[in-house]
Amino acid sequence: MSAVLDLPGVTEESWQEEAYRRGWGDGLPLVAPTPARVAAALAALDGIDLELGPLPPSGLVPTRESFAANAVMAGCRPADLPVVLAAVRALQAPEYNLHGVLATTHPCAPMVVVNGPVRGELGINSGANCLGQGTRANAVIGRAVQLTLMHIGGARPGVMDRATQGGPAKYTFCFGENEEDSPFPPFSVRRGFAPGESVVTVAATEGPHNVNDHGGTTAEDLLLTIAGTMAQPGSNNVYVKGPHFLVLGPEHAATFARDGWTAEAVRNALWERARIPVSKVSQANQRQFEDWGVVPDGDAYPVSTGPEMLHVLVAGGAGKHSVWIPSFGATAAVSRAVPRV
Amino acid sequence: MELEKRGVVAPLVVTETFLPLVQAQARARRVRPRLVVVPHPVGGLNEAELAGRIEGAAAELLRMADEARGLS
Amino acid sequence: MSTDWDVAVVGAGIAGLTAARVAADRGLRVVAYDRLTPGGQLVNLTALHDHPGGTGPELVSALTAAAEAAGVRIGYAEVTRVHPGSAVRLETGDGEVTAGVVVVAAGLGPGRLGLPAEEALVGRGISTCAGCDGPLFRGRAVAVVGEDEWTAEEALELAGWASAVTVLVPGPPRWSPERAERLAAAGTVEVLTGAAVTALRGEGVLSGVVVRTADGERDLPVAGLFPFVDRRGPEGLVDGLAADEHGRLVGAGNVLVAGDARAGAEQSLAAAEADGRAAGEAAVAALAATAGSLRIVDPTYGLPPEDDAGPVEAAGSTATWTDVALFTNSKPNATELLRGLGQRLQAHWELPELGFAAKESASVAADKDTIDWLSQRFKMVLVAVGD
Repeated sequence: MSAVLDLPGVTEESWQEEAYRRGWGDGLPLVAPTPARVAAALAALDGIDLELGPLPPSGLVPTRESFAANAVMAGCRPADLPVVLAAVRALQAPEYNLHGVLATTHPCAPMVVVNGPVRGELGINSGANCLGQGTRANAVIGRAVQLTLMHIGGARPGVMDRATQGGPAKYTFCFGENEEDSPFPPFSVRRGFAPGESVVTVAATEGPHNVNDHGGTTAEDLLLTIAGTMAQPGSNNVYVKGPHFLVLGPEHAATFARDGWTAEAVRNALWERARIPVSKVSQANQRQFEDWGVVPDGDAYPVSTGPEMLHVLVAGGAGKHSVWIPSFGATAAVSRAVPRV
Repeated sequence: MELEKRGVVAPLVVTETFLPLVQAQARARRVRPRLVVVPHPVGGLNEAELAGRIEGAAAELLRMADEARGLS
Repeated sequence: MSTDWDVAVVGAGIAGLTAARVAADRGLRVVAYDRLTPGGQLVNLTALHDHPGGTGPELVSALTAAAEAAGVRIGYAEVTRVHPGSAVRLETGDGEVTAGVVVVAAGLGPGRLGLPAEEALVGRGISTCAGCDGPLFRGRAVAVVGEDEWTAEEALELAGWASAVTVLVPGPPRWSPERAERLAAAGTVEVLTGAAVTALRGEGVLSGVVVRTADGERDLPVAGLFPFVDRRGPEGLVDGLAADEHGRLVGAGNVLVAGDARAGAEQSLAAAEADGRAAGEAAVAALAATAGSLRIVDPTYGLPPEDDAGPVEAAGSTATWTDVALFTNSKPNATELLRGLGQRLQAHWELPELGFAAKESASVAADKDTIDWLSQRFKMVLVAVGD
């Protein structure tokens, strides 16, 4: 295996076809990772060690060049690379369970949440439509993480990536926390990082589930809707447990704050209230849950193992929507500072 | 595969669908796995279907076991 | 121009496999043909002296595995004719294929003395493979005829079996000083220079040869004769390609020649490997020059992890073949499947009982304590890994 390939007869015009023929990419057009583009991208990592280990299932350790090549293919600008690097470092933490995450039939994707000033520097969207299309930084950072796992880790869909259906979040899933419109301290600060530090948090999650509450005017109203949305018997979090996320829209967050609720109070209340009645779980699944050591608390199942498993943050723009993001279960929220020279 | 590295004979029972994944893991870990391959799926089968899976894989397992033990 | 292959290699010995791997490593579509199984001369070498690759067959396995891992397709077919052109056409036992570049690495043919009755004695005393046939001559006298590196190597190999090895060198020896030293050090090897074989003795089976030297002709009684003279390169394989007096080819255009088949080749494993590497690089360059190419950084490239520990024996394991366990991943039905298979084994080996362990969750790696326990206590563990 060589670090540089000469693709005979291939031009910039025919490059897409060649890349697909080789089984590369996510199906969208890819930027050809020419040595010049890779070198330009790597300039943003001058003085920064990758500090990356082997990526499953291939067990190969990315080199600076191959790491940058994937970022280039995803459409990253050089300045995006430190954020991509922080995300890949984070998902190599043992508690993230990268091997299990890549090989599972569950549709989890590497969710990337960004806090701190790097959001403004790179134009990472944390406001309106931040989970949707249309923002370059969000699109390419999430995509670069996924391409790195596919190409170097070898987690090719249908071969090594065994997802039954997968999910659209597997193309790209990156957004910023809307710290500016949040009534709570930044998510990263609540996780122990210094204010003003740029931090990436990853977890292997599903795509977001919407929580629509236009009628509610109090925290209690909103809690009822959110708890009801979370209390569904078909999520991994019920029996594989693990982390899950509530991303409040700023308007919902403001309602909680006005009524005197902190982020911690919200999550504690949801732990108590988001309960799945045993009657909504089949006998066969009750046995399956029991095999995994999960038994009902009275006449209902909780979601995961405790309030600390629910991470509450704020993102989005105007409107009465929030999202709940369940996870694979056998994973963890892992945060890493964005490296700076 | 960790067991094989420690000198234990460890045949892996795997479904066809997961075979490429297991082989890739083996390559990454530099081990040559002993594989007993059964049709996918295993979860969700009733008793008769499961008995069929066992029937189909038993001969290969016994052959592999005898070979490892030096009986063949 | 679109061709079946970017690179077609003729001959899967050390030079051919190396050239193929190098080209495939650079992302090219490569086929390596051999009329037999891969390996070439290597298959016949029991010990390698100028290469750190273990035995010949071990080196062949490693080279073949590396080539296949890089994406080389091994073609089990003889290439009978090569027609140069911007797309080179190859006639093979499997039909005609085209390639952008061809690397001829077909080595040399077997040695022949050109004497009457020689063909009838091949396999009845006459052999060209010391590694294969040496043991047949244990404790008996043999002669080796030739003057090149292979001659010396094969004589040394035979010295491990035969009671006496006479090396008959028609002209001046062309082997390296290092091999000359090893020949001189081998007590049972005698080198006769200026010696030619003029006749073969034996009815149905070889019993000796007639040797002519400056001192005249004399009979040399031997049970085995290993001729390495007049080994010819693959002359005539490629239309219009020049050959030297030994039939070894001179590459031209997009037909490259590597290893012993190349005019002026040095005849050592290290040289053949270097030759193969150079040919692989030259193939990459030739294709880039003719087709134009896009150079990219390989997005799939990575390095193997450093902590690559080999097999370790279980410390303090007292397990015997009656100690068999099942290890389930706890996925639905996995345990039932294992128990079913375990019962068959239990009946087959008449085992009193089976051990049992379970991973808490299919979604995470097995915990170390369980692995420790299983590896200390059991000789065999049947594991459910994936569904």
